[in-house]
Amino acid sequence: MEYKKVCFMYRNKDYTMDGIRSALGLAVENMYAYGVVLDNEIPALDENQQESIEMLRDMEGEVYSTVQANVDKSGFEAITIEELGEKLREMTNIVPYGIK
Amino acid sequence: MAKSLGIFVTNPDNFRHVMGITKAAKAKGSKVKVFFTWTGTHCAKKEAEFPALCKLADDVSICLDSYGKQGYDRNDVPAGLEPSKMATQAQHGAIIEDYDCYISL
Repeated sequence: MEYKKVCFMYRNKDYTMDGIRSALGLAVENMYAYGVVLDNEIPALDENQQESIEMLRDMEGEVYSTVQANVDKSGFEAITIEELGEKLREMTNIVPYGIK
Repeated sequence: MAKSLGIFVTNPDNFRHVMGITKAAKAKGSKVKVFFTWTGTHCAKKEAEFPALCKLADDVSICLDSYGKQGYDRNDVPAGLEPSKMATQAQHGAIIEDYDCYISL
């Protein structure tokens, strides 16, 4: 069976944490789920939020960011726009989460 | 065979597009499922046409956790929706897994 690969893209600060929760929901449904925090620096994650990301990683998902401050504060994996472009080619679905 | 379309809604300002796309897809014989999450759940309480969408689409569900976090009483089921359709992100998974076409609004 071929599993779906889904990448969420978060460009709106107000939607980022819920979008990560949504990615976790898909991972629970047996999909490879990834999130990318684009452009914005978001507040450091609290314990529950860190736990959600650890659960996502346990299911072979990941949260990336193009912003170094998010990498430093919250342990997201660093990714450049070019690397993201390459990664998106592997995906079966790309979800722009919360465009406003 | 008619195609199927899943619509994932996070933006509360896009309801008119949800209705328009659903009408067009149904007119072409497509099966349509709509799932509202996070601030998209406001549509269930604030859009007068939400009950009409529930009748028009084959399946409409909302994320119960998001609905609660947006300030609504979890037991206050929006008009047009069955209580069992107040559900989890598994509904989003079902759209991605089981539907031919997918759109995020």
